[in-house]
Amino acid sequence: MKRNLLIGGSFLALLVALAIAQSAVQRVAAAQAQNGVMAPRFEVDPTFPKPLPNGWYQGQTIGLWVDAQDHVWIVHRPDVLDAAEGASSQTPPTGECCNIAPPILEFDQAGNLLRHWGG
Amino acid sequence: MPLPRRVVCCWVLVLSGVLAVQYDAATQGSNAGPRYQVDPWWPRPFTNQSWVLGSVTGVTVDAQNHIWVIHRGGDSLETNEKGMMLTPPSATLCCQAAPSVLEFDQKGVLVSNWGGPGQGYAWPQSPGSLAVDAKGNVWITAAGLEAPPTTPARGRGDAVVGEAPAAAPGRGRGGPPPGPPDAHVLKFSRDGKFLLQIGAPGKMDGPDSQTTLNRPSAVAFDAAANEVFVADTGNRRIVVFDADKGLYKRHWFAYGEKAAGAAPTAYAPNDPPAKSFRDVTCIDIARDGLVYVCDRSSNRIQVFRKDGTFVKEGIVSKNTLGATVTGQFGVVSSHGSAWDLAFSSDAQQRYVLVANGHDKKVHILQRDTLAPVGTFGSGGRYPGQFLAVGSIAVDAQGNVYAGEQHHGKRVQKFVTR
Repeated sequence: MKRNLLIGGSFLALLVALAIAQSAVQRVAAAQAQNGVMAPRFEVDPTFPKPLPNGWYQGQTIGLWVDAQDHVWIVHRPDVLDAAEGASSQTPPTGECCNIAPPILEFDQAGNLLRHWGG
Repeated sequence: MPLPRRVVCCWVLVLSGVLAVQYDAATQGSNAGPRYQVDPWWPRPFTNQSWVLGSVTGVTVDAQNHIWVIHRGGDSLETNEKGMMLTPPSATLCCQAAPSVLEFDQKGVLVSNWGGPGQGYAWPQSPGSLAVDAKGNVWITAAGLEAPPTTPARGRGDAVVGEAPAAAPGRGRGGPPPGPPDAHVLKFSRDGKFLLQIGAPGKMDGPDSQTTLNRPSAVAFDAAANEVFVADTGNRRIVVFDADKGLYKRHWFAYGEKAAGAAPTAYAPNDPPAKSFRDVTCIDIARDGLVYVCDRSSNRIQVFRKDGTFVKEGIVSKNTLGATVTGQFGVVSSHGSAWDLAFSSDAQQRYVLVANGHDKKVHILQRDTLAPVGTFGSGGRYPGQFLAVGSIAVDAQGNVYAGEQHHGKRVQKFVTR
């Protein structure tokens, strides 16, 4: 029981420490920005978007837009996919994967595919 | 601000862990066996940010649990991927091929790199797989440029002979390099010192030769007997040599036959199984001594004893056919469902993982019956997805590493869950 309390307590302390540290970083960043121009910093989010449904394979992405609802729209070129990438779109199909995705795809902020059309 | 930045990193890791679990649901296939999810943070980006991977033809894990990768380098890179390698260069910052042989630690940090032509040996035109033996030596096959699409036997390396690439030919310019065709196996120390070559480029004396090979794809080891087993693709056989001197021991063909059969016609799902190998592209020896071999475009695994006695075969994905694809760096083949295999890390090695390059997923088979129990991965360019997944390895903890050929050109890690 005492051990559990200890573990719980240290987790709580860790969370508090993390929160304090994060706000400190934000303050520093704000201070630096006041002193002069500072480029924003970016880091990849490898979980966006989620894999496409329907065994769809995406071609070259040639256009990208974020709309007023913060949905992410892309247009890609299905015609550049080769016979291995679009194996199940061949006549007859040569494999289980993949089908060629429709050219216009709309994603929500979590990377879920909402709508698709085009062609 | 060293401390706060590290703290922010912790937050990012915690959040990404949560996201990864959600994300994974979409890439996980049907599965009754072990379950895997991609670790999108492995490997770390190269310190030299101008380095890129070409078509990855081999991945293996050594006794130190380090991950070794071999790739085709500049010959498989498109012009806009290798601006720094062109004459004159068309780019100053990005990119150029990373060295051919790369060693990563468990964290995905590159810890050593080497490879390329040197004194006393012929570097492959197009490498096949690599493997590290019990003494820590690194073996590389010269799998070569593939036979033309009309010829059934294809190698581990993904290029096709006799097809001019769109770019001007010549090493580093996108075309197959000139010179006699690959027909050998190379052995190096783990720091890249040349030790042994079996066979020689352009010297191919046929399927019963005791000294020559023909576009070998893969090797495996029997440490106790000090033997190296070679998947000799172009000769449609398995051949065994002494691992120190490269002296011939024995060889056999599909079903353990002692005589080379005729080359099979192209695979058709409803034909009876071919009596010869079409393209034997992998070989691995399980702890119980059974030898597992991929016959790539025959969509099958064959199992032998170390003496060549045939034990059984299993079909991986019966209806998979294939495609031949023309890209900027030449012609590549995508045929068959059994490109490479690896065993699960449990003591009994209950499962066999098979990289199915054409269908862009990994099959999980029960090792004793070769019955399918699940798959993971799907076709696509995002983490956890595949194009031409052609090499696979498992580390001591059971994590899986998968390399992609063609323009997949990457290695991904999957952790058990």
